[in-house]
Amino acid sequence: MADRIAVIGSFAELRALVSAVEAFRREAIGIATVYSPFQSSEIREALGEPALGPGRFFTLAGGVTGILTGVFLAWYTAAQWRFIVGGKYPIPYVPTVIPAFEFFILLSIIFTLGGMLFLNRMPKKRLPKYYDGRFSQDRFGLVVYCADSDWGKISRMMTDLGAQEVLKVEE
Amino acid sequence: MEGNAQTQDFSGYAGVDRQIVGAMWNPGRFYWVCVAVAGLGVLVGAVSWAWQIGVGLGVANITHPPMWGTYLINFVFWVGIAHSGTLISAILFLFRASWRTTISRASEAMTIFAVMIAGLFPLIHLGRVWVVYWILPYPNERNLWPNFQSPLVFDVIAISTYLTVSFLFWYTGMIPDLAAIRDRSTGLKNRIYGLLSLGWAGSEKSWKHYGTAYLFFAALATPLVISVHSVVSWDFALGITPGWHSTIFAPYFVAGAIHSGLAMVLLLLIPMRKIFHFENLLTLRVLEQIAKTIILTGLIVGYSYAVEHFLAWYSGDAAENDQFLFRMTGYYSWAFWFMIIGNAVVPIVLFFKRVRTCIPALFAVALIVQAGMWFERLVIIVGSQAHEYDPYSWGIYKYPSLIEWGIMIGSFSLFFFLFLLFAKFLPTISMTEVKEAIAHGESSGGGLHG
Repeated sequence: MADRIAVIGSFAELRALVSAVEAFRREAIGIATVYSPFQSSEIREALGEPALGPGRFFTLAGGVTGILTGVFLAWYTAAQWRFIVGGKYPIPYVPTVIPAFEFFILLSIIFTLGGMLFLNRMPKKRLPKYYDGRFSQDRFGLVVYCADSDWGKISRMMTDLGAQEVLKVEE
Repeated sequence: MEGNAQTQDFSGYAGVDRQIVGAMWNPGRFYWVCVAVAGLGVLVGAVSWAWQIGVGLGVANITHPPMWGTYLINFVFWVGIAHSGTLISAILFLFRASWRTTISRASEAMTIFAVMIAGLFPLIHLGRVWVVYWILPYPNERNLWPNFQSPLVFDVIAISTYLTVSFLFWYTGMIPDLAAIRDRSTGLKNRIYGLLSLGWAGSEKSWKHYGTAYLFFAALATPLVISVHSVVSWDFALGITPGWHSTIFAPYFVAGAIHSGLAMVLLLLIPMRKIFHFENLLTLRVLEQIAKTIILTGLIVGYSYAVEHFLAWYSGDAAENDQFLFRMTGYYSWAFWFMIIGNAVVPIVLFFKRVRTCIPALFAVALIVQAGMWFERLVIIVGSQAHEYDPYSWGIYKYPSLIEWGIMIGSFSLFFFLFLLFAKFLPTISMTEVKEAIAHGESSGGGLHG
C-alpha cells in the first residue's frame, strides 16, 4: 500500500471546481494541480495566485538586450562606413531609434516565448501522469495528494463539491 | 439578437470543440472547389514568375521613371493587409473587446500570409532572384555592413520583425487548441498535433505563464503594428519625390493599412462563416463591429487625403502643387477618384445599420475599399514617380503586362490558397477563448458577444 496517493476529481462546471478549490484551501489540504480547458481568473483567484507570473522578467531581459543590440548595430555600421560630412554627426543618434525599437520588440517577444516554454518545462514528450484528455476539452481536473487513509474523506469531499468522477492513483 | 441566441447552441464546452474541429475535418465540397480555383491561380503566378526569371525583367511593362510598376504596389498593398490581423488580436485584446474572440485567429493567419506574400515582391522585382542574399543586411566583400540608419534597412528589420512576432503570437495562441485537437484525435493526427502542442496540459501554472506571455505579446505587438507601416511609409517619405516627401505619411499609411486590412477580414470571414457553417460564431454583430471600425478608418483616410492636398497647396511648392494637380486631372486621375470614392466616401454608407447588417452589402463595401486601397498605392507610388521635378523625365506606366497580371493573380490566389489550407489543418477560431467567453457569460450574463 502506498504512503501517498493522488486523488483526481473531474468537474464539468467551472463554478463547482472553484468552490472545491476554495473548500480544500480552507481545510488546508494541499492542492497539487488544477487542470482547465481554458484560462480562468476565477481558478487563479481561488488558488491565491498572482495575476502575472515570473515570465515578465524574461520579457524585460529581452527588451534590454534588444535595445542594446539595435543601438550597437546602428552605431557600429555608421562608424565603420566613416561618412564624414561637414556639419553632420559621424554617428547620428536619431535614426538609431528605429533599429533599437525593432530589436527591442523582437527580442522581448523571443525571450517572452522562451520564458514561457522554460517555466512550463515545454516542449514535453510525455503528458503528466494525472492528465486526462478531457481536461483540454470540457472537464476541469483537481489533483490532491493525501495519505491513503484519507482517500475516503477526500473523495467524499470532492463528490459533495460537484466532482463527476473521482479517481485514485497510487504514487 | 442573432449572436446571443445562437451561442447557446454549443451544448457546453465540448460543443465548441465539436463544431470547430468538425468543420476542419469535413469542410464540404465547396471548400475543395475553392482550393482548386486558388491552386490554379497559384500555378498561373508560378508560371508567370518562372517566365520572367527565364526571359528577364523586360517582360514586365516597367520602364523609367515608374520602375516598380505593380510589383511595389502589391508589396505595399500586402504589407497593408497584414496590419489588421495583429491589430484585432493585440489591440482589441488589450481593450478587452469581446467581439475579437471569434475572429482573432483567422485575422492573425491573414497577417502572416499577407506578410509572406509581401516579402515575395522584392524578390520578384529583383529579376535575378538567385542573388537575393545581396540585399540581406550582412557585411559585403569589403567587409562593410549596410548602413543600419537607412530606411531600406529599417524596412527589412521592421517587416522581418513583424513576420516573426506575428507568427509567434499566432502560434502561441494556438498551443492550447492544438492540445485539444491532440486529445480528440488518434493515430498520426494525434502524433502531429501532439508534436505541435509541445506537451501542453493546461495546468493552472501553465495557464498563468501562458497568460503572462500572451499579455506581453499583445502589449509589444501593438506598437509594432503602428511602427511597421510607418517604416514602410518612410521608404517614400524620406525621398524627395513630390507626393512622397511628407510628414503625414506615417499615420496616413497606418490608417490606410488598417482600413484595407479590415476590409480583407470581411472578405475572408463572410465566405468562411458560410463554408464552415460558423454563423453562430461569426455573428452578424461581429461583422457589424468590423464595419463600424471601417467607418472610423475610412474617415481618417479621407481626412488624410484632404490634409495631404491642403499641405501641397499651402506649401507653395510648385512641384508639389503640380504633382497633386496631376493626380486629380492627369493620366491616373481615374484611379485617384476611385481611391477617394472607394476609400473615403463608400464606407460612409456603413453608418446605416441596414447596410451594416446586410451581408452582401458588407461584402460589396469591403471589395470596393480593397480596390480603392490598391489604387491608392498606384496613385502614390506610380503616379508620383511618373511626374517628378523635371518634365523631360516624366513618363507613364500604362498598364501591366500579361506576366505582371499573372504574378498579381498568383499573389492573390496564393493568399487565399494558404488561408484555405490553414482552415483545413488548424483551428480557425480560438476554441479556448470561445470556452472562456461562454464561462464568463455563465457567471456574468455577458459571454461571447456581451
